[in-house]
This record gives sequence, C-alpha cells and structure tokens, in this order.
Amino acid sequence: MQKLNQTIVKQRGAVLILMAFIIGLGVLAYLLQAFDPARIRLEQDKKTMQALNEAKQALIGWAVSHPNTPGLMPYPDRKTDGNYDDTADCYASNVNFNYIFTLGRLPLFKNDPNCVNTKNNVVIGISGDFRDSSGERLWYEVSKNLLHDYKDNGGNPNGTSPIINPGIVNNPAYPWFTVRDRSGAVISTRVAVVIIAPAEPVGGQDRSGGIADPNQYLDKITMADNTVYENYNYPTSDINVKEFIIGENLKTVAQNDTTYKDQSVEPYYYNDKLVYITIDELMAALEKRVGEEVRNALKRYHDTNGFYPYAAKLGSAKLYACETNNLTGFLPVTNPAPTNAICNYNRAGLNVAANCGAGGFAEVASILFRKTATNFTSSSGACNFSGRDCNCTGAGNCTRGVQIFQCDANANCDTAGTTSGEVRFMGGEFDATTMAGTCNTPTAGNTCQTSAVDVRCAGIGAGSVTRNVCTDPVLNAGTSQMPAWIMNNRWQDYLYYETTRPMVGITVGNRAVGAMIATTGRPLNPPQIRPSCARGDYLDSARNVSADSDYEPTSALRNNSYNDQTFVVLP
Amino acid sequence: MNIYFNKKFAGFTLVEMAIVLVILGLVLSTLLLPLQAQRQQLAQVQTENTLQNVKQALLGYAQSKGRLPCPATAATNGLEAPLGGNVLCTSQLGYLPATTLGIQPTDADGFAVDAWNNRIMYAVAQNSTTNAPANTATPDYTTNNATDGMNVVGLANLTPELRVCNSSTGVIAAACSGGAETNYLINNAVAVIYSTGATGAQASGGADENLNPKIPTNPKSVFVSHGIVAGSLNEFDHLVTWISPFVLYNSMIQAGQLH
Repeated sequence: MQKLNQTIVKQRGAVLILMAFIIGLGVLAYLLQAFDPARIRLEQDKKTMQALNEAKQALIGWAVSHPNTPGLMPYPDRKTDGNYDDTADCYASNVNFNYIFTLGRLPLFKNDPNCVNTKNNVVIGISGDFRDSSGERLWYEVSKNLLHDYKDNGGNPNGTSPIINPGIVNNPAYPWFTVRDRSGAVISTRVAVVIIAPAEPVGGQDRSGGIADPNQYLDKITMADNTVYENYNYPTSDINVKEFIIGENLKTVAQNDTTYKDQSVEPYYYNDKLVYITIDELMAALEKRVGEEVRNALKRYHDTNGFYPYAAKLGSAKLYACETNNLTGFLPVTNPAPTNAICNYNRAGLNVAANCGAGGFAEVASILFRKTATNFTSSSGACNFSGRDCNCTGAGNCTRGVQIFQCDANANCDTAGTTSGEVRFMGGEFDATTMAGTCNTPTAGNTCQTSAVDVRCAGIGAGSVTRNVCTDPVLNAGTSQMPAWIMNNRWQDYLYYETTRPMVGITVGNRAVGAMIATTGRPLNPPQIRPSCARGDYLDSARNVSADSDYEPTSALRNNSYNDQTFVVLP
Repeated sequence: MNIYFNKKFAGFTLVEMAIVLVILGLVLSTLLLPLQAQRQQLAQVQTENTLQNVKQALLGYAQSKGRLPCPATAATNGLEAPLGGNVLCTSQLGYLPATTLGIQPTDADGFAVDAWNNRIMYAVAQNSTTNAPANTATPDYTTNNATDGMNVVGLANLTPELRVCNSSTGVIAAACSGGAETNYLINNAVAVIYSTGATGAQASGGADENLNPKIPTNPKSVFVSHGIVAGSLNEFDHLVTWISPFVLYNSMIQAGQLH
C-alpha cells in the first residue's frame, strides 16, 4: 500500500503541465520565426530584386531587338500626361523634348499613339507584369542619349533617332548617369538606364489618388556633408549629370549613423531598391545583334555566290567598297558599289593642274594643294588654307597676291600666277598599285586613306591614280541586304572583317573558318585613334592584332583592355 | 483505502482536465492554423521557384536548339510532341516537356509537377510568318531547320500570339478583348507556363480558371492571370508566368541563334 501511495503521489499531472509548457514554447518559437521581421524583409528584398532583374533583362531585350534603331529605349509612363497607365508616353511632333519625359514608371504594355505614329518605335511595351514586393510598379529613368526625339525640327515629321553605336560610350551627346553606393561613393559613371523599386511609402509619402508625383514614390538621402541625392529627379540641363544613390533600407540604418545627416535634424527615409544598365552592358548586347545580322548577311551572300566578298580598306572614311584581292579590313557595305575613278595631275613649268574625271569631288574627300614656298593668305568658297596648304572640297580658291590655286565644282583645279607646288588626292581609297607617273606616294601596300598617307603627286610631268571597281557582287543588296539601321547608325565603323579565297587559313579560337567578323567596340586606352589603317586601332588583343589570321575565340571575355567580339561566319 | 479520496494525493479533477484540454486545444489550433497557411505558402513559393526554373530551362533550350520545345501530350511521357519540332505541335497547350528539358520534380509518367503534385501546363507560340526569304509555313517558334524557324524568319518578322489577360471578362477566341485590346498583361508572349494551384486536383473554380485548362488543348492562345481569389464562385489560385519575346530574342541573339 505504501508503494501505491508513493506512485499516486508522484502522478500529480506535472507531465501534462510540462507538455503544455513545451507546446506553448514551440508555438512561441514558431510564431517568432514566422514573423521575424528580418526574415520577412529578406524575403521581400529577394522578391523585389528578382522583379528588378527580370525588368532589366526585358528592357535590354526590348532595346536590342528594336526593329528600327537597336539600342533605343522606350519613354517612361510619366505622370505629366495625366495618368499612370503602363503606357510609354511619347510626345507630339510640335512639342520640344523635356527632361521630365525621362522619368516615370516602367512602360509595361504598350506605347501611346505618338510613339506609334512616327514609326520609330515598336507598338508594344516591354511585356512583363513587374512589381516589387509591396505590389508597386517599378520606376524607370533613361538617358536622353537613348531616346528618340519626336520634335519635327524642320521637315522631319518623324523626328530624329540618336545614332547608337560604340562611339557614344566615350563621347555621348549628353552625360551618362552616375550611381553611388550608400556612403556616396561612385559605383559607375556610365549608367544609361536606372530601374527603381519604390517599396512602401516612407517619410510622409502620399500616393493616394493614383497619380502622385515621383517624389511620393522615390526617395532621397542627405549625406552628413549636406549633399543631397534625389532618385526622383531628372537632369536639369544637357550638361547636368543626374546622380542616383543606392541607399540602405531605413530599417537597418542606426540612429547614430554618421554617414548621413543628423537624424534628429532630418530623419533618414529611404527604402528604394535600384538596379541599373551601363552603356557598356547595353553595347555588348547590341554588338551581338549587329554581329548576328552581319553574319547572316554574309552567309546568304555565300549561299548565292559561293564566296565571301573582298574587304574594304581599313580606315575607310568614305566608300566602304570592296577592293579586289583585299582580304582584311572593313565590311564592304556600300550600295551601289562605286564606279571606276581616276584622278590626274600635271605640272608644266610652274603651273599645276589636277582633276578627278567625271566624278569630280565625289571620288575624293578633298584635293589638297601645297605650295612649294610661302604661305597662302586668303581663301574663298569651299577651299580653306593653312600655311602653304589649300584644301578644297568644292568650288573655291586660295590666294597669295596674284598667286592662286582654284577648283571649280567639278574638281577641275589649277594654279595661276606662277604658283608651283604639289597635289594630294585625299580620301579617294585608291589602290596604290595604280599610281603612275608623278603620282608616286605612298608606296605600294600603304593605301590606307588617312591624312598622312593619301596619294601625293609632285614634280614636273603627268601622273595619275586609279580606283578600280571590285567585281564582286554587292554585299548589301538582294538576299544579303542588311537592315538599314546598320548603316544609319554607322556600325560599319565598328566592324572588322577578314575572309579568304579559297577558304582556308583563318582561325577563330581553334576553329578554321572561311570568314570572320569582329565588332571592335569603343576605342580603348592606350588611345586607339580612328579612322586608322592600323589594325591595332580597332582590335585589342595581341592575338587579334597580329596579321596571322588567328583570332580570339568567340567566347573570349571582355575586360577593361579587351572589348572585341569575334564571330565565325561559315558557309 | 481512504487514501484514494484524500485530496492531498488526488490528480486533476475533471474540471481541471477539461480546462487544460481546452487550453491545449486552443494552443494547438493556433499552432496548426498558421502551420497550414505556412504549408500553403511554402508550396506556393516552391511552385513559383519551379516556374522560374522552367523559364530558365526554356530560355536555355532556345539558346542551344534555336527554338522552343513543343508541349508534351498525355501519351509522350514528358517528351515534346512531336519530337524535334519542325512541324505544328501536336497540341499548342500541353504538359511541360520535362524530360526534354531535364526538369525536376516529375511524376511517375515524367511530367513536371508543382508542389501539389499537379502537372505544370505549357503553351507555346505557333504563329508562322511566310513573307521572309525561303520561309515555309511551319511554326516559327518551334522550328529550326534550313527553310524555317526563328533565325530564318528573322527578328523583324516574328509575331508571337499568346495572350495573358487580367480577367476572363471580354475575352474572345484569340485576344483578351475585341476591338482595341486593353485588358492584357501581355499580348505577345512566346510561352505561357502555369500551375493550377492548390485546388488543381478539384473542379475548376470559375470563368477565370476555365481559361487555363488542365489538359492539353489545341489551339489555345489566351490565358488569364491575377492574384489568388478565394471563394466558390470565381475562385482563382493558378500561378501563371510567361516568357516575354524580348527576353527570348535577346537570349538567343547572345547565343548566336537569332538575327
């Protein structure tokens, strides 16, 4: 009985109470875990960043696949047209561009009629229902360098598209954006597009009514030194550099953080999330499109003709026409192909005469006359003088007293008043092997048409130089015609090309190919000067620059000293 | 024997036990209700991740093959139908061809499934442009041969036709609305992928869900997507995603599969 008593004494329900306690603890732990603010914020940030990155990819895709001007970006959906309707808001041809047009919501679904009417934009938005974790639409600001100007600036009702090629990376018409990190340090000064997730309203932002100003969505930060970075503003002028800041969420910034202005004076309110597209990123993607278009044209050309066209001279500033037996250089994009041309020179006594046949000034960039001694003192018409040189691009003359060098509109030039000197035919893209008589500089093989090596004719007697038509069928025509935007945007200045006949001898990576192209990208440092006849002014790595027809693989990665992109062209 | 009635040694009374059990019940219910919601939430997140992976797999497939796969049908066990594309797909809307794409998880028949073990549905654009050089009439997006396909047709001529509307109201055969189409989330998708949600195994919830069939349908180019709506009349819990043409085009251009 004693034992039974002890057992009963022991069983007083403590285990039940303990169980209830443990379960209670479990519930508490679960609730704490389920509603842990840090974890919830992490999940929200992840969702927002995913939406931002998807929007970025869609936007790059939209720009790269643009049918008329690849690289062009859509106008944002801005408040100032009266609503936020997920539509790109362009403007009428009688309206001037305004920087207020560059900031708004990401235009998701379509373009307004002004975009469509000019035929310079595609008729659909970027196609994606992108929202941040708070359900807000994403915002978007774009550089003027990548926007179509709808204003009719005199006889052009469709407005003007920017020329988008690697040239705008180093020399944009308007400054690229700058993006800074939480402490105000510069992350990039070459930003073309910024996409911002506004998140929930903070600091008294009021988004009621559905048509609030940008500053009701996007935030600003005042640094300790009173510098203010406002994500909701746009450039104030064509030279103003718009600066964005990727700040830290206000929930993780301590009250005593000295990076920012004293929070007892100005509370820190910032919860934007931001991604950006640099012009280098966009250009790398665009160069792929260009390369693919050209590659396709060359393949079709080969399908039709059984060979690839001869190349145009590297350094061409004028014709981009194929030259017989020339295997490396620019792509021969000229259509129609130029005709035969001959420029003549003759000196009898002290008088000099020069002409370029029926084509006249169309065959050359200019005709330059250099006096033997003493400088010119004046010029008129389409001639300009500099020291002893008189450079004519049309009818005009240069004089010194009675001494004169003159040209008519058909490039019939001569001297009078005992004016002796030599003539240079500039930019005619002649074949050096055709130089004859007193036209004897530069030497054969050095035919690149930059100012230093144009054809020089000097001395007593007659001379001439000829440009013979390449007999290859025209590349940029028929089934191998390339999109008009390639030449409109002058991509021919950024395309290197090599072929072989018969097709042996070129390697790209470890592949033997019949033809290759490379997009040359923006000029890099040490300074690449273009146009130039030097391969090294276009191509970057030693392997690409060397004349052994061996090139980097198509997968070679870009870096600060290499931005070539090679493409293999196969039959 | 009177020890059993001695209060000093007694256990809980029935009233005390009842109170304890009621408290335990309350505690357990507060635990289980969020747990159920949490499980649903987890399943939803898991399905969203699966759909995200599917999109990446489809883009990767297009980058390597130069086209999108056809949907699978009930008879093909996770393989696209027909194999190799290059002709009209057997069904424009079908099951995700998980075997062709190498996607996991799948059910016993090789079809990709969501977190509720229902098959993931997949529709692909079947438009064909015939005005490009040397182009034939097979669907541009699921063809890649010498005479047709995205790269033969060229970027400028591609016109994907899939639509995702924000409701079933006003939807017509091939558009989200008649006249000027307005109520769409996308009107040029190249692929639409969706899960039929937690209630996928049950009967369709209403007009919106009816536009997203659970079985292969041909042709089928218009779908509906919006947030989850509970209730019996127009319940909607499908998780719908799609591939923007621009994302597909850029991916393929970067891989040298499109000009």
